[in-house]
Amino acid sequence: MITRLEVDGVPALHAPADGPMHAGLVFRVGTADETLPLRGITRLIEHLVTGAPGSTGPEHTYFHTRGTPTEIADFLSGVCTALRNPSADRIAEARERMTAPRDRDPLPMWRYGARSYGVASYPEWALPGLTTDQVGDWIARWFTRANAALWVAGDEVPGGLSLDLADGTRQPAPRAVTVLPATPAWFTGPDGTAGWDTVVHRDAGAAVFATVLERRLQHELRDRAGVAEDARTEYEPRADGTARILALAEAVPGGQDGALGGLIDVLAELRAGRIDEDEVGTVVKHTGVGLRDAESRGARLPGQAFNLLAGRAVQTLDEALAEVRAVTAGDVAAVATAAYDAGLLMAPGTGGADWAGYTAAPTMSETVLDGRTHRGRGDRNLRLISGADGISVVEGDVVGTVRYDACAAVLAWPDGARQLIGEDAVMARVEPTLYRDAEQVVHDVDQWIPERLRIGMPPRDRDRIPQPRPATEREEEPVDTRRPLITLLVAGMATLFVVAGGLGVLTMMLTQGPSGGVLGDVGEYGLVASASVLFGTFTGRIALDSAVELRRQQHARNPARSD
Amino acid sequence: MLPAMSAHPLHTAVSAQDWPGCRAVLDAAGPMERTALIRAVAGLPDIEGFLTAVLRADPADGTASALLGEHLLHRVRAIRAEDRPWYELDDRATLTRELLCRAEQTLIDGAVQNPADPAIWSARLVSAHGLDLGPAETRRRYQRLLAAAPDHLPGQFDMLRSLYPGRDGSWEPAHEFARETAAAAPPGGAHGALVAAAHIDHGLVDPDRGLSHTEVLTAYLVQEPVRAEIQRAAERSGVPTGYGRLGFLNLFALCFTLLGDQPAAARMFDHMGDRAAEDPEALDDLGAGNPWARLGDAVHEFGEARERALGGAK
Repeated sequence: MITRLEVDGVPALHAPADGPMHAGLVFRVGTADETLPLRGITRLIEHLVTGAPGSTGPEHTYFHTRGTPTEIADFLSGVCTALRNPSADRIAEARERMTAPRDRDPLPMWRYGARSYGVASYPEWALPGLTTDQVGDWIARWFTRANAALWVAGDEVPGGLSLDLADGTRQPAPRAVTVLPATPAWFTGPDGTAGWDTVVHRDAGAAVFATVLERRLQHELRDRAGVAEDARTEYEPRADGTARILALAEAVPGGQDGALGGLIDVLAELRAGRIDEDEVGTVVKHTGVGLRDAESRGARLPGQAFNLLAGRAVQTLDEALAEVRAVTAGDVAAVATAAYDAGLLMAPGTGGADWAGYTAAPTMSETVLDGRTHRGRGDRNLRLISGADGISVVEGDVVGTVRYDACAAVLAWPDGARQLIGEDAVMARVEPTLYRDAEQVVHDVDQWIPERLRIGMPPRDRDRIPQPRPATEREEEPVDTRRPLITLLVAGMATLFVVAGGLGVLTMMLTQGPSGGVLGDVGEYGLVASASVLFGTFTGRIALDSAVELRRQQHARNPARSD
Repeated sequence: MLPAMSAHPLHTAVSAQDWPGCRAVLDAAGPMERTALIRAVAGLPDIEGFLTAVLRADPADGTASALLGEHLLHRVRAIRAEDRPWYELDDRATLTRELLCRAEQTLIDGAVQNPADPAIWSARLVSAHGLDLGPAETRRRYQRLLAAAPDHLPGQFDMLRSLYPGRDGSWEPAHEFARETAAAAPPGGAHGALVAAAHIDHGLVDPDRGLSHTEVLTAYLVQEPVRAEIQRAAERSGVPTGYGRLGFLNLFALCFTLLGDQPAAARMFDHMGDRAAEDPEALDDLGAGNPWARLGDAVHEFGEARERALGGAK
């Protein structure tokens, strides 16, 4: 039986539990509350406060421990004390402990872009540069008495427990706004894993669906086809009344196309409502057993504490059991249809999933902004456009546009390179070495982008700085420049010579008359004169063409001037 | 085409857009005959609207899914075989991709409703190949086919073709598949035809050397390991009794003719009986194409080879 109480102003849940006593303190803050420039700050605070692993999720950060009542009271009081004074030394220590690279889940970025729930897909860029002030501000906003909940599983709440937290306000969960124009959608994911996620209404039917899906995937991909080592699903309820369901299949070597095909078939099967009453019955039974077991260990408490923070009712075991038991195959089929329609596939390999009726998730921008054009050095395909609204990078058909009013962050390297990341996760990279007069663009970007969106990156090795591409094209360049010039000179001389000659003959003809001259008669004079005019026109035309070509080349080298 | 296909009741029923009539014929056929019949009528023109309407009325009708899927795949092959003059836009790649996607989506839905329909899983092997979905996905579909109907020869031919290498690849996986499948087949089956078909396709893969197809194929077949394998496959199979019997006999008759093994060729022609000679259309009951057409004019090549093998005996 779960009872509600309050400890030092923090709402708390208590329930008796078998086994050792345990307790946790949860705050309504997670990666979805971070921005790209602050990506990683929540987990840093988690490490700052406790050496033992806590947990930072999209919406919640909690500190959990097991032990005697005294140990638990000491641990939780210690958490609160540590949150009170984050010193620079301790920030540096925490940073040291966090160096191991972490697996990132690419799906949220494709669904939500570089905001809210999508932020979790990005590297923890903030870690190296976080200041004591930034950490202090983050704690003051999120790690407060009003934004916390406590759970204790055991005989009683430890007597010596005090939670000395700063005052603050309860923070609602961020709004989840998708950037996908159409679903079901797909994108190309990393090799070796076929993945899928969806967002549905949060209820027992959705939880049962997630388990049914896992069983089907294991059966089809692992047991029957042998294309995946394993397949699993996760059901992640959210504060806003939705739930994310994630499915991942780890392919055996060489099996990723089969894992994707099998996943697509299983999803189609469930969407069509091919769900067995017996199968649902089995899952419901297992879920019921699991809930009872969780209740006896106090393992349902964290989820209920999250509910408290979201302003949702605390659910008793009987209520939870009744909700699960009421789930029918029809309910699961309804969830499956909604889940399929909102689905996002992560397809390994290069084949995509359009063949199965999924829409490609956008990989680039649709519009190129107006502004000053900087051409690529030695690469005519490459253009960088800098305008008052933002930056566009165009390479052939690929367009990356980031508007300044929808910019999530700018990565800034000491060598001048800038990478703008739009809220829709599209990136525009300014590499000064690759464009003509790109220093101007770097200057524009630094002027327009506020300091709070800037992420300082460590210096790059020389060989990591891209160099203008094909050397062959640059070698051709002088030839290209020189050829029309030589043509112009030669053809120009010839024109002058021939026209002068023709005029000479004409003058001779008119002044001296046919008899006194070198040539025999008027006809010959006429012939020479008209031949000179014809040939002169011809060479003159060549000279004019090369002059035009020369002018064009000069303009191409200095686009800023021509615009 | 199957024996006198245009007079076949299925042909008549599809042409008349009589779905109950189509189902009556197809439901009465054995699984392999059913797949072959579906393929035999899949090329009939203007049946997409008819089949779409049937599926709309009953999305669970696997036969309609299979036939519509095969029809779209047939159109892909027809477009690929078209010649485009240089002055016309070549949009064949876009057209075929779009048709392949539609075929695949029809077949996905069909397989969902009828997970044990071998005609659907056979067609999905063809679409997987056309869409280049990869070897693991092809194998997964083949396993689903086997689970639905073990020894389903039409689909096994599709699997065999999907194992054919591109330029410079190895033929060994295809031959190995043919050997193993033939060895595992039930007695009386025509599965040995896979071995002969793989060798004929292999032998003719690169025929452009100023020689006739007969000469090129003969030069390939007389290699000792090839000859021995064909002989072994014929001996192990015996004479098939059911589906694909004529196709089997013809493939081996052709091989033995080119190998100069007249007695063996004569045995094959003998088993065919006289009907085959009267109706050359009947030769290809495997749906794998009339093998004699590979050498030139099918009727002429068949007649000449039969004459030579049976000699004075007939």
